Amino acid sequence: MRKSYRKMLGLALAPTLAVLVACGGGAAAPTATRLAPQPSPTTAPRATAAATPTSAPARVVPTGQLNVGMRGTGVGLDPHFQAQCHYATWYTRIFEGLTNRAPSGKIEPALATSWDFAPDGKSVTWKLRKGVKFHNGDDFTASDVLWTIERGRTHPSPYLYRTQLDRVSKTTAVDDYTVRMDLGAYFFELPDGWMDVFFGMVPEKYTKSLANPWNDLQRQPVGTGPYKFVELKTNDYFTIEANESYWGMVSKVKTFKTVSVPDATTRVTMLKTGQMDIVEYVPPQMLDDVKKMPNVTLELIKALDTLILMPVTAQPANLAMKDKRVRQALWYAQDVDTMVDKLWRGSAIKANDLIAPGFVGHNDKITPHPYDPAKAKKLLAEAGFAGGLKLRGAYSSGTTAITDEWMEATRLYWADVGIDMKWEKLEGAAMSELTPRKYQGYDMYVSNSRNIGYDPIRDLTFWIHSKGGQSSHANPEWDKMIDPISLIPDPAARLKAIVDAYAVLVGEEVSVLPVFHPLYTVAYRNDKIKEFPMTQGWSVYPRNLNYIVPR
Amino acid sequence: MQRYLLGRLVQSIFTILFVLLVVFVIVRLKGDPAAVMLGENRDPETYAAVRRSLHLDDPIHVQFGAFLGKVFRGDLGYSWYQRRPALEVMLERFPATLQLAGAAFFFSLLLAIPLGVVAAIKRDTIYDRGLKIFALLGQAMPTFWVGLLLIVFVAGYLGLLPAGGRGGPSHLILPAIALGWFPAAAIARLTRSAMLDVLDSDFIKMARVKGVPEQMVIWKHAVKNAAIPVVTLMGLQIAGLLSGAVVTEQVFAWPGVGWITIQSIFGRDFPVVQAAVILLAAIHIAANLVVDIVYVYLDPRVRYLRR
Amino acid sequence: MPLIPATIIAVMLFFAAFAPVVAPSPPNKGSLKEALRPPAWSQGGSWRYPLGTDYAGRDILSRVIYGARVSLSLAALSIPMGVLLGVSLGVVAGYFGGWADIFIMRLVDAALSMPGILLAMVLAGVFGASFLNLVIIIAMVSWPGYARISRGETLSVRERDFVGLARVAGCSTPHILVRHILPNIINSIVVLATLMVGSVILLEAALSFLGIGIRPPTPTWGGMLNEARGYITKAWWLAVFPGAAIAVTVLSINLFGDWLRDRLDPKLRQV
Repeated sequence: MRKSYRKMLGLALAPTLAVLVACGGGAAAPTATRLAPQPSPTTAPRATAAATPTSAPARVVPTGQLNVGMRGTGVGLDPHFQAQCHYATWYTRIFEGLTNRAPSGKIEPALATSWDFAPDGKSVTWKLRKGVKFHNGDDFTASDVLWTIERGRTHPSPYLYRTQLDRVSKTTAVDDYTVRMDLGAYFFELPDGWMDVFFGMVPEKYTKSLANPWNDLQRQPVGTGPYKFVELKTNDYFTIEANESYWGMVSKVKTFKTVSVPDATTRVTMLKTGQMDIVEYVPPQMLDDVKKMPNVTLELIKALDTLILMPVTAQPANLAMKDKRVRQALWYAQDVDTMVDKLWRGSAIKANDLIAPGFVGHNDKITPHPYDPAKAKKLLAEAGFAGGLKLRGAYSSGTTAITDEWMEATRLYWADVGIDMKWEKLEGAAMSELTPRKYQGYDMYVSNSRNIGYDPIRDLTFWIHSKGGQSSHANPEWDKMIDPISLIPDPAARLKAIVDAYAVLVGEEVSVLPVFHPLYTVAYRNDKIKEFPMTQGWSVYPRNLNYIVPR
Repeated sequence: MQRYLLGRLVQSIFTILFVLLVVFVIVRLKGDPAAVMLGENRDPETYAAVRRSLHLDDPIHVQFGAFLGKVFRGDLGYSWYQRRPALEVMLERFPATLQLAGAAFFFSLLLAIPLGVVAAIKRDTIYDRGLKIFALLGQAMPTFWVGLLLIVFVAGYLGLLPAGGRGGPSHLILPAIALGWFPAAAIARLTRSAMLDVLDSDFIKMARVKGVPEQMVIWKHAVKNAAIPVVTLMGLQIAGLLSGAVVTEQVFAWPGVGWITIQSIFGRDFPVVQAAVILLAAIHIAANLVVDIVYVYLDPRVRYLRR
Repeated sequence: MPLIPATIIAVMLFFAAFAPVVAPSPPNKGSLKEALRPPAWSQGGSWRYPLGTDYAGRDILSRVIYGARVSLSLAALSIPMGVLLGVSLGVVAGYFGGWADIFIMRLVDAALSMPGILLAMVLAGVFGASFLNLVIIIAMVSWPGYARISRGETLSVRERDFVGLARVAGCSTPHILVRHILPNIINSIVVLATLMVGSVILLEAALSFLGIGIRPPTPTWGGMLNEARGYITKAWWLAVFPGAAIAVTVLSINLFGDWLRDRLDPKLRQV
């Protein structure tokens, strides 16, 4: 899980190149709407939830308690100190950002009701929602926004989104409910970037009153969100309660108790016995067991994850990996369909692109290279490796529930075409130590690309450009393909350029070898929960709790 | 005797210091905690600041001195990921481990003492052989394998008990059996040999001659006297159970000290690893000390045997 | 000589030495299409895979046979290392006495007070668990036992006449230690070392099981059990056979060690 945090971190920190967009400065979010996801193809295993949190809610009194079994509870709930991505998302139920992502995928107003870009694109003015109160009763005003930015900037912890903050050169409170941000350069993902996952708004007065303003918010969080914090016992459980005076849709369930059950077998057993009402990450081996359980509904939700093999071409010593034919051979030599069937038991989709289907930037025209060992052998022979090839790869076990199995299966497939693959399992920390050294000593590494921002240029840069945060490449020609894209002013043309670039860089060059899109597996007790609409594309489901209708 | 006790105490302190030194060296030998904390996107200034705040640039003996001072004040460092005292992290998990070890201990006693006594009384019969097989198996099978088998058959195939996790008393049964078998084997063997010694002694023969009922002879006189070495071994087993629980917890997803230790090893959260080793070693050493002291008071002869 | 345990040990040694000949398939070959086949006698099994296959379609029997290689060679390398270290220190402590004795024995007491499995876990976790590292770690965890025994034995041998005579005859100290002391304490060491083989196998298995042992795909018994965890409700054979291999081997070694102790060193019975 630490690994995926790194990914997320990197994604957000990926250098976004200067964007010159002729911006009209309309009132509505100009970019979020134009980059809204394409209608999702029918391959989506499950329909998208229709509810939106802002639709005028009927007053309901939240009742009851649901127990949620998760892989872990995380260590704290301070939006500015998050060490583990997956659990970190729980703070998004307590804190909110200026914007929010609706289940449809659109960016919608949250703590800000509107935002205007100046005609030169160099500043943005936010109108804040009036009458919003923090859980302790303090009013939410412009000074809290300023404080949040200030705190994010100066927080001693490795705050995930600091570089993003650095692009805001100055923040001014025009009045109590108007904030202006001066931007060094216009960056078009701004409204996305201000949603809860990135910038949860922190109460100024309360935080400053804490004995240790840096640390104590972790365990005594106060936000404006739909849930109030009740109790956290690290790695044991953590409880939140519906915020009945929430400005948006109030939760129908009073209490959620999230229990840390790291072992998947136990998690599933606890669902069976009714100790848990919802469990996440049902491992592939247990899907059949869960399907057979009475009163349990299993959901496979299409997520934005892409499991990828990253060839390391930046190292001069990796002659084989620098050869396109070898990279293509690796793709041809693995039988992804059989792995989906035997290892994932259907809980993953074969990937063809870095961006998952249904998300902006996905190119369904890229054909995944079929399983063709003969062709792989031929390509290897052409590249001069007819006599075999020794490769060394690194992976981190936290990537999926069955990473070990996947790596071993890959090793076996590649052995069939004469590649002697040696995988090394590293813990997350060791893996991230390799990143700045461009994975020196390895020919390949394994990762999970989680397209968390909605701008596909980020992923293109992040994984493939020589300056990308997780890139294992230093290929000037690839850089030359990517660089001009961000300068294209017309959004549609820009998106097309991105999609075309993926076709070449992934489909042809195999700079990234996409293998699976794992589905997010959630199972819940349908005798306790009547409706559980889930947001498509988010493997982080705390966001879905609001929509639960209990029995 | 006072001299002996004093010696033992000094020795225990020396041992603790040695453990602390080993822990200190291991943890600092590998891995730059500042680099781990900050990850790939660190800037040199923050990196230097973090190194300073962790005192990583001080000479090593100064660091060790500071480390000792802290440990004796009960400060075992600060979890780098959880941002709270490592000792707190460990202590929070400790009741779960204690519960598991306690249940395993109870199970092993419940099984081992009657088995040992019966085997001694019915020496060289099928009962005796049965005990021998039980004990030998207990010492040959890895606890985690026993655990896995119990999960496969009792929880999976028969569906009788929960496969893991911490919950009601039913959750304790399987892990307690898995963890308790190994010490049960040792305790049963010792009970048997201690009983044989006692049953052979004059005062038991005398009791029998005097016409004390056989049941009474065995359960009142013999067992009581055979208890001394057994109690000692039990004391030593408690410490062993605690560290054995580290592995068993993994099998049964038991949220105890072992689980957090493994997590911290993988995540390189060294202060927590350090706290785990120190805590468990301290218990180990304390248990040894207490056993030795109790031993000396119970039976002054034995210290010569133990030496 | 206990026939059954000795035979089992011999078979395991044979497996370890001639794994490539004995094993029906290579341990790291397999096909996903053959994944999770039950043992031959169950429905759906085949004699191509007598004990079934694992999640990747690898032959369990072959992996168990190769696993013997890892476990036994680890013991074969780490035990002599621990013995060398422990016996040298023990003999020095016992023969010279004084400060050397006090210092070494305090060190031994301290090392014995540390929970071995935890120490091994931390060492393996921090330094990584290559085969060589494991050899060193196991030697580090086991030497104090040898040191304590050899010191005790040396103490009693030292006072015997022939040692005194050798000293009077002007033999050098190293000569006395190697030619006179060592041969007289070797029996106890051999017995202890034999009994340690079982502990080494168990320790290696525990580390591999925890995921901090020798790295996959190298087949090790503990590692196979670790891999079996996700499949125990579906495929019991993944968990049963490697564990049975451990249990049977350790049991045989313990029985053999007991027998050896009775033959060579009845004194040790108390230990």
